[in-house]
Amino acid sequence: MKAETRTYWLRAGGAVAFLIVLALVINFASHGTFLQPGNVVRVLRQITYNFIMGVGETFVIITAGIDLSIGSLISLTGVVMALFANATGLHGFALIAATLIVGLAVGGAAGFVNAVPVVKLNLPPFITTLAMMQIALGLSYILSGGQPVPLQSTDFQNTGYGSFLHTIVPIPVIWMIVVLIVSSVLLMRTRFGRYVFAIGGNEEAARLAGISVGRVKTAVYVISGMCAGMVGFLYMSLFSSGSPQTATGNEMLNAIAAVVVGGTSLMGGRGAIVGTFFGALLIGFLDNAMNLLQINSYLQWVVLGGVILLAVVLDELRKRYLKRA
Amino acid sequence: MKKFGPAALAAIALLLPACSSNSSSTTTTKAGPKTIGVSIQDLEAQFYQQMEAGMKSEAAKFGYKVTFVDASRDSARQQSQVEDFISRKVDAIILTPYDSQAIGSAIVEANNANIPVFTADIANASKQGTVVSHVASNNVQGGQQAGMLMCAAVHNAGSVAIIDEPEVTSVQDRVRGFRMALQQHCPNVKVVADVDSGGTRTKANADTGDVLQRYKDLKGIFGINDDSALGAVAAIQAAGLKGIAVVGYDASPEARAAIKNGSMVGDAIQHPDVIGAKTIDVIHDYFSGKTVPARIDVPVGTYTKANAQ
Repeated sequence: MKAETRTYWLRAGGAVAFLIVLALVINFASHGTFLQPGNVVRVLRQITYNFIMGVGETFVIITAGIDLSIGSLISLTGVVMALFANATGLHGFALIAATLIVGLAVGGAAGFVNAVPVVKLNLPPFITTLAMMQIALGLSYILSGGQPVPLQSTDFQNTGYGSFLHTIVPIPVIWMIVVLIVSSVLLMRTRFGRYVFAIGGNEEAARLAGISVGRVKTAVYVISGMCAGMVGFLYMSLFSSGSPQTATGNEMLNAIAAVVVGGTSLMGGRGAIVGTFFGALLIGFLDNAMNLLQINSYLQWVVLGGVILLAVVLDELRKRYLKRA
Repeated sequence: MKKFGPAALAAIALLLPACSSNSSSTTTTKAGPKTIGVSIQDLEAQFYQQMEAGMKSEAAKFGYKVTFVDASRDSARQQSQVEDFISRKVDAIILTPYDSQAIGSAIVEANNANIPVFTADIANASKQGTVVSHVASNNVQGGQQAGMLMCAAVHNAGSVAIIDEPEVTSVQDRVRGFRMALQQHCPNVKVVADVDSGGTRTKANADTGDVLQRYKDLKGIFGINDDSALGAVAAIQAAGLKGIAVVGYDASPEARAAIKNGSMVGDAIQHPDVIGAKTIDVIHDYFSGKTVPARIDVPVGTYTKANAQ
């Protein structure tokens, strides 16, 4: 366990060192705009959404599963929450809290539906969550009538784009830090977290060891759905409306990219929330830097894809090197 | 002679099955009501509902019978709707194609049945099929309207950014018009950034943040649709900035609210009801034997705080 902890911190340290070097290079190329405090904070705010999606995905992927429905669930929960917020007579904190709970409940319920065929019939999650992706998107369009649902209350604005201490600490970043801490503790410091790893490492062995595999797997899809609900909540607050089109583009793939770049294995059994944070940070930094350097947007896709590939190749080479040593 | 082709064919076809509906049996005589079949790509969208209303009221003036069907964003469905129109022997077909490439084969079928085809809003981009006339907003002129709004909002000087989606042809026109207007009316306004945000609010929000970081003296942002403009508004608010003029396109209900509360200065606004009415007008001209232009531009207007009261 101790050696494991040490490699864990070595990996995190390596990632930090890599990001620092990259940041310095970009900063030089962008004539110092990149590392201005305002820009760094903005990148952190911008990766909040991708990171929180990635957290749910990390739990699922460590069990060797996948959740393709999170983008559509952001759309669906955003629309449902906006309709709920407009219909209820609540105000202020009660309105915000109740709306968030509705979003988490809808996301969690969809995650539960995702998990049932996976657990009971052993169907591949790729298919069940693909089906949910379609169902949730369709429902989102039906409920909203194809139009964005504008929020009537202005109480959400502070949650969406407010900040503490004169734009120094954006509120979404606080959400991100809370999610980072809670999910890291859940995955790394609890019995549940150990079961998640055990199932991803060897599901049959986990079952024989008496772990309730079905319950744990169900829980990870519920967590993933709830993370989508939280991102739906943050986007709805940011834009003051729930739109069926929100997060139905590349968002889900970017979240999976953040997880994989962060060192979580798609084969299951290995991964970390901190890794996903660094993955999201790297992707966010690159997006931002390429915009600052005015790199052509089509070339940006090529670079981003190349970086994802490079990151996983380097990680695999490093692993092989460590094994030999 | 050519324009009597469809009527003559319809008459011959009608002689064979004696059980046809009465609406099309009158096509041989000029006195009976003409029928028009309309397949709209997405009748759930407000834009097309307004277009439908414009067609309905204009058709009522001429006494035409118009049937509307919803293609529900499905090319195969639209194709079979056109086939239904052909077997019902309508006198004209109006299409707003869901897929401007895939629509070609449906148009060919209508051409073979000698039924004239008109398109509204979205043109036939395939190489197949002949369309009599295409009626749509003039997006270049709409972009110019947006550009003139921008000139006024930034007091004819400073740097502005475009939140773009350059792979869409109508958006290319909007941006061309926008740049033309700046050159003509306020050459001291410079476009310093033109980023591709895919027309989505989330990407527009992220990209605008980057643009604001790079150009601290930015005076204005043109969003090529309302999602782009509203994404930019959220980014400006998140950065705690004020006084950056945002101009959008389409004047959706949310954009109207933003214009009313001052977070946007104005929008270029299309007139789908006019597009609908003009399409019926051009069909009327065609029925009366006039030569009609292949393309009819419908002007784009503006929506500002003055309209929002």
